[in-house]
Amino acid sequence: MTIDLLCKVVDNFGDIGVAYRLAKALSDLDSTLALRLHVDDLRAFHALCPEVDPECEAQLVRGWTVLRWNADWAGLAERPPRVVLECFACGRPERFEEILYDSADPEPRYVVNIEHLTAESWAADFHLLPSATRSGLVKKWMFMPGFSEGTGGLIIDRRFREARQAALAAEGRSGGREELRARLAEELAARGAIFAGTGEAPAGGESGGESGRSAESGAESGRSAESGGESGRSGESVAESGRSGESGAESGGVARSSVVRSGGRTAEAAAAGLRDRARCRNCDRDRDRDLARDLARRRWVSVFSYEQDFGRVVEDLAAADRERPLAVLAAAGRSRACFLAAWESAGRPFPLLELPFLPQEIWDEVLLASDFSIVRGEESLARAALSGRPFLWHAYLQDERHQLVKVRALLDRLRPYFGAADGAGDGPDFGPVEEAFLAFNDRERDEPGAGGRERISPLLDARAAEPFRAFAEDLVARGDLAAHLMTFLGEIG
Amino acid sequence: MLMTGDIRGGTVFKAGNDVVVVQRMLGIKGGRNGQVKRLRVKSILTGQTSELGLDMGEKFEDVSLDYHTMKLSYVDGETWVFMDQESFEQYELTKDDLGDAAGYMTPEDDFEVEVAFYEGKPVSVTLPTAIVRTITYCEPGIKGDTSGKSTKPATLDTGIEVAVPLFCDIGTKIMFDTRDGSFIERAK
Repeated sequence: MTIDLLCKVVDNFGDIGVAYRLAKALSDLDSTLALRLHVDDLRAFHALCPEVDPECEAQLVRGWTVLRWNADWAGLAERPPRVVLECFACGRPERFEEILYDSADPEPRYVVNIEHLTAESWAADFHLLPSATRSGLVKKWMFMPGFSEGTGGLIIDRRFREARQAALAAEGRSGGREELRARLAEELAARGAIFAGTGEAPAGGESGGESGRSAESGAESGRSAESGGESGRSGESVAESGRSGESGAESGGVARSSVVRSGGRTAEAAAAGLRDRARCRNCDRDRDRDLARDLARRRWVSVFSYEQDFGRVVEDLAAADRERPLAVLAAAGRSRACFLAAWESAGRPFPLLELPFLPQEIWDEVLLASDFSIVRGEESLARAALSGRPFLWHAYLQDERHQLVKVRALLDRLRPYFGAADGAGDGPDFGPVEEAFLAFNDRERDEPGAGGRERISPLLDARAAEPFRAFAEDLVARGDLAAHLMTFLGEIG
Repeated sequence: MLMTGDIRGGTVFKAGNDVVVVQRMLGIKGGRNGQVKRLRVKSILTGQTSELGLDMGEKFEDVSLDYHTMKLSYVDGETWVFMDQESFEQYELTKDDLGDAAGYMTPEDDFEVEVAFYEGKPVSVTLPTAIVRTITYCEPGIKGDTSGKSTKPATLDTGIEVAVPLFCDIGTKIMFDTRDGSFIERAK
């Protein structure tokens, strides 16, 4: 079967993140599928999947034919579209449209519009609803991702599923989670970690040799993350599964280095030792391992959201750090500068790792290794929800604070897994969790001074873990969106 | 070409090999890239009704229709009789044909409607975009709340229910949008 998967990048990396993951999941299910991906922004695709050449009109990547939107590619006319997956009603390239609606072609064509992820109940009403086109030979349907029964569920590609299983297995072993984090921390460091200590950029070692181990010293910590590295390789370490990473893309910079900013008090000693070692030239690997060990012992908090005032978030994290050490992993992108500002202003109360743009698979692992995540958009929300760890979602800003409708809908999905203030039901009180989500999203603009009223302590409490774990188990039990999609295609075709 | 955004109650368009009329907008939901609509349509060719979901990425072929300006003359059970304002001829549509529009008009109304004809047969009615109706029942109004952001259900003199701002009371005349039933303003 040949499937044409269409994606237009509206902003950031979320749209292409979903399309890329869907392509992977479909290929996982059936390696004989001929997938043709039509993408209007190959640079964004390259950021998440470095094998994609952003300058190439038509190319083979992982067995898929990747085409620039409206590419003049003869193969399309030779093998006209039969099954078309549109991501988020993105429309179709002009030439593709002509071929799809060719009245001389007697074969039926099937189009499925895969809509945005929403927890709202209407998702089930729209799921698999027949749609309409202007031709009797072109049949169309709606397909709704979602969190509940009656929707298409969430995409769970094989790599993510395996990483999730590995994270769960590690949890069951003594020291397993530390091992998992140490390996991942080493990986992150190898992608160019530089210790900033108390803000001072350490002298970096030379490249470790292999690709991705450049570890440029990055003169000014933080800045290096956007500017270091080899030109034209921006995608290699870029980004966030769905959306992160735009800072690198927007700045046109190359995000190669991750920077650890050690906390001013709690991690000072460790940072000093690590910094000293980091000053040694040609000792990247030792330094990376030290970084890994230090980070692995801490709880991980990943932060990837929109701009806002993180003052209270940092305050709560600092309090949690005093009880049990933690480290924050700040993804590249819009929230990082705001988070850094709050962290600086609070006196650097805990270590902070600035992540470079990461390939989708590595970002998945970061989320799975985190004890708590602040995520935004839909792709990373899905990953965080599936991770089984507490998270806080920053919804995409909409007119008249409509994002709150989306947030409340998600809260409705989470509520059954929690208890109530009066002790009714099992599990911890949902009220403070709900308040945190609503306060975090009650905003009219994304800007450094926005929001800042949320208290995230309830989400950092160990008791919050179980309801999120149970929520994730139910999501996984509902199955993979790609599998549901293939079943549906089998039914209609 | 007709875009999804142009489609509303009473719209007639070609869906595949069929010609359908929109009887009811069942839901308009928004995401960050646009809206999706769920509607109930009736096939003009077969008379069958079905539900459709439409996204903003689709275009449809216009259907050649004749429009006549008419007024609702009287209602006889499920049959609604309209009078052409030029020829004074009368045409019948069923309540089912009218869909949502049936809930917005009575024979006492002054406003005119556009009746669409497909191959000589009346198939749908398009109302004026904004019309005025009177609230016959709602919870007591709350003075001072003029923002209009919070709403409550209200029954209109035609019997249908719409959402109105909290300050509205029984007897209040309201202007609302017939495309989606949304409140526009309090009428004088």
